[in-house]
Amino acid sequence: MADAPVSVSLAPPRSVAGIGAFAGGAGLPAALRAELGADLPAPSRCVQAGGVAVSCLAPGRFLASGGRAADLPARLARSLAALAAVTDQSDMWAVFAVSGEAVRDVLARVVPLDLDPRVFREGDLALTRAGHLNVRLWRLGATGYEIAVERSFAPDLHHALQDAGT
Amino acid sequence: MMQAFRQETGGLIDRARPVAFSFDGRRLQGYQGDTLASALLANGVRLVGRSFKYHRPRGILSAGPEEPNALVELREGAAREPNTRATVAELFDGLSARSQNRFPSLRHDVLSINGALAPIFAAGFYYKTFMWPAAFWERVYEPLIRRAAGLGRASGLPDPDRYGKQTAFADVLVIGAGPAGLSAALAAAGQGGRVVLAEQDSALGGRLLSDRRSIDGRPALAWLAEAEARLRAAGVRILTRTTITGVFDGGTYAGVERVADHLAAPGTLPRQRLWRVVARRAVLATGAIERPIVFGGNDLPGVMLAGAVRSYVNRFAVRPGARAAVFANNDDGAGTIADLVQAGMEVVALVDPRPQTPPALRAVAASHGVPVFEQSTVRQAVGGTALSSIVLGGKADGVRLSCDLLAMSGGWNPAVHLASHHGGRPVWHDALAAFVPGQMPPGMRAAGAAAGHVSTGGALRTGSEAGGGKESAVPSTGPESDAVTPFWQVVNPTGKAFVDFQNDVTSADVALAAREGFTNVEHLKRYTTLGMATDQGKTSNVTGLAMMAALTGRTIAQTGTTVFRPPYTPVAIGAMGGTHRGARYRPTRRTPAHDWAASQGAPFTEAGEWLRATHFPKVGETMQQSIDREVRTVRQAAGFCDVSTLGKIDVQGPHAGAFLDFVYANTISSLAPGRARYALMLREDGFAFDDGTVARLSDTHFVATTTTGNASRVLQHLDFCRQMLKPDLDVCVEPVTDQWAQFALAGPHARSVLEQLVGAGSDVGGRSLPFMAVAQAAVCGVPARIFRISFSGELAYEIAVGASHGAALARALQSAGAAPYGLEALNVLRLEKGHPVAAELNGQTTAADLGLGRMLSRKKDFIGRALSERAALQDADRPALVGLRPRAGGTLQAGAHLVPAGAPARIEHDHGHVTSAAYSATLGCWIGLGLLAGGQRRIGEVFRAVNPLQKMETEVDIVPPVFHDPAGAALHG
Repeated sequence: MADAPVSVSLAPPRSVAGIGAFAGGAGLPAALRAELGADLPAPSRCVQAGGVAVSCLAPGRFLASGGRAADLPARLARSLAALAAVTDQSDMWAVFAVSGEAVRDVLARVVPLDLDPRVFREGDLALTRAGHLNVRLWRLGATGYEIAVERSFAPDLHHALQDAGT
Repeated sequence: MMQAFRQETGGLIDRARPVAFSFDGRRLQGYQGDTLASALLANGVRLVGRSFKYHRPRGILSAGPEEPNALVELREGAAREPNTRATVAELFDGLSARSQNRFPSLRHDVLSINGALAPIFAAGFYYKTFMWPAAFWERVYEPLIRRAAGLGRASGLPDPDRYGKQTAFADVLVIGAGPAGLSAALAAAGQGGRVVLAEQDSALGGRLLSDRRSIDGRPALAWLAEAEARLRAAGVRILTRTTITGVFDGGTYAGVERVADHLAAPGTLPRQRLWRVVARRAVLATGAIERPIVFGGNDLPGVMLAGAVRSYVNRFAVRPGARAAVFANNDDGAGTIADLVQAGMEVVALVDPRPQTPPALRAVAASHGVPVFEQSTVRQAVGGTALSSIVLGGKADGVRLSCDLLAMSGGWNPAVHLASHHGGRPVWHDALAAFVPGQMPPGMRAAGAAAGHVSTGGALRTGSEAGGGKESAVPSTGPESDAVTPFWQVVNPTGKAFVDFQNDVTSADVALAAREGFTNVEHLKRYTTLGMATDQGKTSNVTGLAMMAALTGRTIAQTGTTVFRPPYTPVAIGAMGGTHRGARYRPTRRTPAHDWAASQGAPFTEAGEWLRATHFPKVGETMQQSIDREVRTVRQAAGFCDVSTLGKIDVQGPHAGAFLDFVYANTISSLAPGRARYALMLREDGFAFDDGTVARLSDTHFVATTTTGNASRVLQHLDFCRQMLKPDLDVCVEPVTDQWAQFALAGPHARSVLEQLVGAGSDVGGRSLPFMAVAQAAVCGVPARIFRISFSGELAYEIAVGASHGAALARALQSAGAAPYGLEALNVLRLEKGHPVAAELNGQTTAADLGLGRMLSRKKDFIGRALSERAALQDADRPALVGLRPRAGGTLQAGAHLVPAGAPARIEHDHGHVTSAAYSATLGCWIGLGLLAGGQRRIGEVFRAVNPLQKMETEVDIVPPVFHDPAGAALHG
């Protein structure tokens, strides 16, 4: 397993909006479908629709992220006004793309999750820890993952990913 | 002659790859595949160390991790590791090892004199000696003992190696890859589950590597190779050089993998890796550890465990001696004789202490021309620094035989340690004369020798069952006898007879413990230290308690056994720490403008997890001069400070106002949109918890700040309140600390600076943005929130932009004429205004103590309200916030205690302490805040601030806790 290449790169900045459903937000799924063309995913799942990824972090808590030009948080704040709390988180996250044949061995040295491809499937996500850091892990493809940490912790996560290479 | 004791052919070593190594400076040679122990034996080196207490000459007893004697210092310099078992250390080119616990040399060790003082050093001697005179303990005895005690020396240098960690999930974890473990893994893999197989040796096979057995009519090694191939093909994760060291909760097992210890240097690899294996089930196939027999001189180099002798002969192609004798209470003796003879060694005797020697065994001995001494024992092993002869006892009493190797076997102890990590006690099995696992941790079952099935056939069968396989799939083996008759010790030995080799505990010590009443096994252990060395008593525990049972007329089952805690073998602290060392012990957070501040030459200090600039020095300035300049700049012109580290929490929803009213002591819901308010949060017990600013952006949208240090605690608290205490409130709470870069811009010129940065259409004039207002506007072309709030007491704003624009905003503020200021000046400015920070809001003060009692609303319920009203917190004599002015130009230190002017500096006159102190450039003198009993009632009195640790004290006047602009005129500029 020693030298199978795994690449780690910092993803380019993207628009990110946090969405917290209000109790009276029964119209949220419809509003989101209208705005993005996406159905709300189940907890710990992520769906893609028209360049925007919608993740469910917990019941009633979502994250929408898409290309820079989308001005996503402002759009969503307007269209979801009385249905959910929208926060602009575009500057808040450092996202590392991690991929390659041995990616699960590398990630197994960073997070304490069962990464077996049959258990952590494409489109799954998890809120977990990497050492002392709170991180979010997405599986986007067969051997492609993204791991996100709050911006000020990025150098520490980067170190951890590098150390995990061997 | 090099490797005089190496057999010409055979073994599992690689003769094509010779390896050069050194021991105590002597250059020697071995082969790839050797352990340090096997290579030493091949070179005829048998004296390897000196024992702990008596400094007796010691050699190699075993061939595995249970080794108590052959402890060496491995490697040099910072990588030096003491107490390494030579039987586990794999040989590599350039390996350097040194013996331990001897001076000046191994052969001539002055402390071997301790042997003559043995009666003084008996068990428990610490409790009976070194008592008088009492003063000598600290100055004489303890330093002497410290120098004489201990085995190896740590390097004293920082560990140069890297350590990693990894998690693996499995349906079945098989612990041990001998015949039982391999069989279990094959069966489990056949069921389609995910299997992890952990083996502490460098190769799979267990006893199959050391004993010449046959499976399915073929040599066992052939079956082994095929089994390994099948396991790999089935995708089983095979971890060699990995010792499972502990069983924890939830099916979690800890393992330590020696990734690079067998290499000359780790290179880019971690030296060791800590594994966390989470498994639904586990199979304990850890085998069994052979028991020594207790007789006189049984610790001499040349006295070895019979199974170890077979390992060295068969696996490593070594002749551990020239003339050998075998002393065994079980039928393993037969195999040992055959192997020794085949290796070209002379076997002078088989000594069998049992009432009856089986005919089959007699026949084997006869066929090799080996005399059998039935119903006999070895009373004494004789020699100087190595075995030269044995003296028999029992029926052959008095017979003396010259030999340089004695292979002894007292039977086998199943390695049950992991099975008892959850507190389950092992159970005595009479027929086996051994303990087997009792209640095991959930999901674990034992197989093979670990469960008491010592034969190869038994191991294969029980392993397969444990792995979920079918009986029919188990291969056949040749006939084996596992008959054993208990024999623990030769009574009345000549010379010292050792039970625990590593801690130098003898049979006389066990008898002493019995005489002195320490007959409980837990007392036996602690009184004699039997079983307390780094080997956890692997070769001594059972023997010791069997002896105690005999001495006290109990059965072994009645006597019981001690149990075990993780780790099973010693683990380097580095392996447990992993990457969390030095600066990476915990995360280090940098603000968005960190690099910009560094480019300005700012030094940084740690504020919790964050790095914050202390000041921005100009050329030629001392630190104090920088701070003074920054303070004056803010009071007279304009300065800006990075306050991005404050916690920021976004609160939205139809009931956001009600929620904030519940968690804060003052009323929040009365804030109008576009306004902000200073807010105080209490703990449930009524004490002050945290303070910050809450701003209302719209009817349903608030943003709150917290102190830097409490950000995650406050967020946890709010989550708890929302989910558990007020689940009926419709509100969302989202942390957004890292989203925003935030700067305080303060000073009489602050507005004119701000006007240069806002867009053309924005009005930040005094009427559009009055004190405590908040606006959303473009700053430097990007969306921003501007809060007109002040921590410094000057006309001030806090400007928040997306974190990616933080550095640019800092540069823009600087270009617009504001001077950067750091944490030190920030502190002086707030101190001049009497604002509390963590030093005052320290978890032990109430709102009233801090002069904020009026903030507690009487119109609503809120967290902490009820307990804040209890009598003790209403006491007028509680220490409360006051200002402190040193007299006569004195200085002040935070932490100094406040004693009335005329009273002596003693605890009964201690009225409080100084919480914060600094030199105020604005006032031209030192100022401070403190918590003083009676608080502001004492204004006008004179106290002494005493610092006995540094022998400093200052006379201070008690003054109101605000030093500059008490009316706050500057705020409304």
